[in-house]
Amino acid sequence: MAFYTIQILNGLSLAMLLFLIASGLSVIFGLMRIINLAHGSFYLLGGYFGLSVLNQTGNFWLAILVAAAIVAAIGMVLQRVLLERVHGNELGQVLMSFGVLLVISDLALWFWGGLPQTLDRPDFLDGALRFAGLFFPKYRVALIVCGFAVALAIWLIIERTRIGAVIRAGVDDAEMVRAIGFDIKMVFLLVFGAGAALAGAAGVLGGAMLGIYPGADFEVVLQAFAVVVIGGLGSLRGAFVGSLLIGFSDTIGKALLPEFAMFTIFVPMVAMLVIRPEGLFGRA
Amino acid sequence: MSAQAVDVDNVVMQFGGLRAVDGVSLRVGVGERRVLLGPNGAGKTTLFNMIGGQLQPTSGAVRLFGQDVSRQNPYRRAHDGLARTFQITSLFPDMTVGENLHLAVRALSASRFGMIRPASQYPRIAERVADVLAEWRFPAGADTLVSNLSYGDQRKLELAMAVANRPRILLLDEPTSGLSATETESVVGLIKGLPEDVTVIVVEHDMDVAFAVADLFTILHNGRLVTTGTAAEVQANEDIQRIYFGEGE
Amino acid sequence: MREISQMKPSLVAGALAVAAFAAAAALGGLLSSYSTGLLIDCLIFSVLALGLNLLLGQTGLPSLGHAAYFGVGAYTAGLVMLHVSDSFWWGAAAAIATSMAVGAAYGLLALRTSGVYFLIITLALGQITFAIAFSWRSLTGGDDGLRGIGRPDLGLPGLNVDTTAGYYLLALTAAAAALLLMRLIVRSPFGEALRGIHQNSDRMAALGYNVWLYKFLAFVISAGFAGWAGVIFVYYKGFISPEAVGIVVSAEVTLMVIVGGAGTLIGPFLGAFLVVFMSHVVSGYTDRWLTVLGLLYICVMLFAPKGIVTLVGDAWRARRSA
Repeated sequence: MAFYTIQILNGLSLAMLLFLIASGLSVIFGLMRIINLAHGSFYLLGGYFGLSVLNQTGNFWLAILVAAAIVAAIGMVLQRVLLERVHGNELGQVLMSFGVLLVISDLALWFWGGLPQTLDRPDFLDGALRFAGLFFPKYRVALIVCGFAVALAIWLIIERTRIGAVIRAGVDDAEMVRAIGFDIKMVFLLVFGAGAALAGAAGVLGGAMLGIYPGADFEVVLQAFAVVVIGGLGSLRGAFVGSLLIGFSDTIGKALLPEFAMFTIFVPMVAMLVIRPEGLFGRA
Repeated sequence: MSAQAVDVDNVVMQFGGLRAVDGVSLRVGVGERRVLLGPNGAGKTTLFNMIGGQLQPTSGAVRLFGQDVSRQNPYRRAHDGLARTFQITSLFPDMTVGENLHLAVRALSASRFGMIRPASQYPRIAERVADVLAEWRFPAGADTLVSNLSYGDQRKLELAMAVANRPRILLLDEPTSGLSATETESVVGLIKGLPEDVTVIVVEHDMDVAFAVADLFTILHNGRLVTTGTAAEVQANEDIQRIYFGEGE
Repeated sequence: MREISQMKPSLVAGALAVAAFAAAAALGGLLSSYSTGLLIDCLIFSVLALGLNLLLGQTGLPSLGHAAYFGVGAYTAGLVMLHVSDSFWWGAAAAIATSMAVGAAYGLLALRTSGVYFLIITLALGQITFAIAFSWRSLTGGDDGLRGIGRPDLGLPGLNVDTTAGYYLLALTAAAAALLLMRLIVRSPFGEALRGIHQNSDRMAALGYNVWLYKFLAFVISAGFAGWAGVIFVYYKGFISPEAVGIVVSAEVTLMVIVGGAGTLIGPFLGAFLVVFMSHVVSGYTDRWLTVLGLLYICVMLFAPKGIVTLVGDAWRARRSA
């Protein structure tokens, strides 16, 4: 019983972390048709910037804010200066963003070193809650709550605000949004920045749970891609459901069949692509 | 009763909430020349795509020479003797005129999977390509890249590729759209010059062209078949006047 | 003697090719063992890039998991050497057959998708292969890989592949054979049909070509070339580990094809030589090779997305017509 409870908690917390990364990836794809492998670099950089801020100030919340802000700025520069130039060339985008990923991971290795590091959590989130004879790590519970809150906030922004309406229209037909007079390039830039900021914040939150280390960028972006493929490229709802599925399959798969740990992401991904390439909630 | 060349039986094509073709039946006999008429959005190209195999009907059947091909791939239908042109010119832009024709002529030959002998060293295919080139005459020359060809010559090549393999059924989707008067005239001549046993279905907007190439006309409107008749019947029918020729004219 | 200009162009090209091969072969005897080894690396990746080019350049299918077939070939040849026979021919035959079989299985799955989904599924299949190489310890040795694979016996008297210079001759011949075979394929009706599919697959289908089957065959043949590259790789290095199967290699081969010029025969060789040489030279000066490699990806996509061969060809034509 305790085993399953803790696995469910682990699965949920991983799912929420994945959602923070995959939601941006998915909306960015839906809007701009960009396949951005460097989204993993946003996570990595978020974690490392957060680490540096935390080491200087000891303030976890400031670390999240600063990391998200810096990563958002880097993301926007990347979108404007590089990715926009290869618009419409899918392989070109993948390879260019892979190049960006290589540069950032190499520079991060140079700057922050190769050892795995953990971000210190705020004191009040250390330890565990006791409930019904079971222990629940506070940090994971908080992460789950935070993930649900962010999901709700994104949903409200996209469904209930004017900018959200423009984004939804842009996912359907970017030309149309341009035609009715919106500065679609500005919308692209803002959404890309927001997606990067979420991934950067996820780097801090994830770094305090899983640690931050060279290679985390690639690991995370592949997981996020699995989420997006399963949920459907461009679908926010898909990103949420996909995060839950991958979060659980990864956690439970690794716990029950550790020898197959490396297959828990890619096998579901390939299966979905073969059976239904557009994903659970994507459009054909 | 001998089988029709093309027998479209109550086909429906549904795209999401839109019924592009809504229960159309059409029978075209061997050697017949038929023109499909109708305003934009009437479902003509969708119907063409179901006959050609680019689309599979939501319901209903398509038969060629009595054989049900509704679920067959386009390439299988080509081997059954069907060829077509596309409304939007559909060629191989980075290849020469000669290479385009090579691909067309080879499509039905057993050598199309050959992996060792160079493509240029198949005398019978080269011969047929030379014949087509001589018959159709491209002033720019066989070695011109298709992307450098004039629009009129691109339309002509589109047609030449469709007839290169002597099809039994030929679907022509707006073969004269965008052509000059002289070019249109030559295309009309080419269609009329096709062997008599070739079944030809044409989507055409230009009424002069339509009346010149066909004897029977089928009118589509809003995805439904309105009527089929001769030139005189079509011109006399008031519904058709209203739908197709418009009140304003 | 007749003037060269009066000879048939194909004869001239043939004579030039033989001369180039002879010169390249002679080079092996002149260079240091280090430089010769570098050339062997270049040749191996040239063959791998040549295979990928059939899919990416010729057919327009951007496979992002090509290291998988390279790895399958290398592991198979290594396993044959360790457990079955030291004959080069047995190892090579088994490796190419296995690569093509895996290519066929993956091709069946991957060709259910198109466009961006094809990119993603080939990447995912590549990572699954990586995971198999990593996890199936009893067969593959896990993350240690297979070690202690000796040089093979070619059964040809006079050719000793135990020395670097001798192995260089083998690698050169293997690459030349691959190039000749690929030249036949791309000039054949099959190759011409692949180009047609790249440019307009709907029209190809309407003309009567079974587009799916062509793509599938291209996928399998391409995997066979990658397997052949894997054979030359594993017998040279003497080991193979999961790293050679992963996305980093797959992406690098894709970069080689693109930087050289996708859809050309010589482009993959140029690209492979450029990237392999750069990695050796840059690594000699700085630890930041990955940064340089990343910048290379970025610059190629920005400034030469059609590759060097196309770039030079365009400039040449522009000068001639000016």
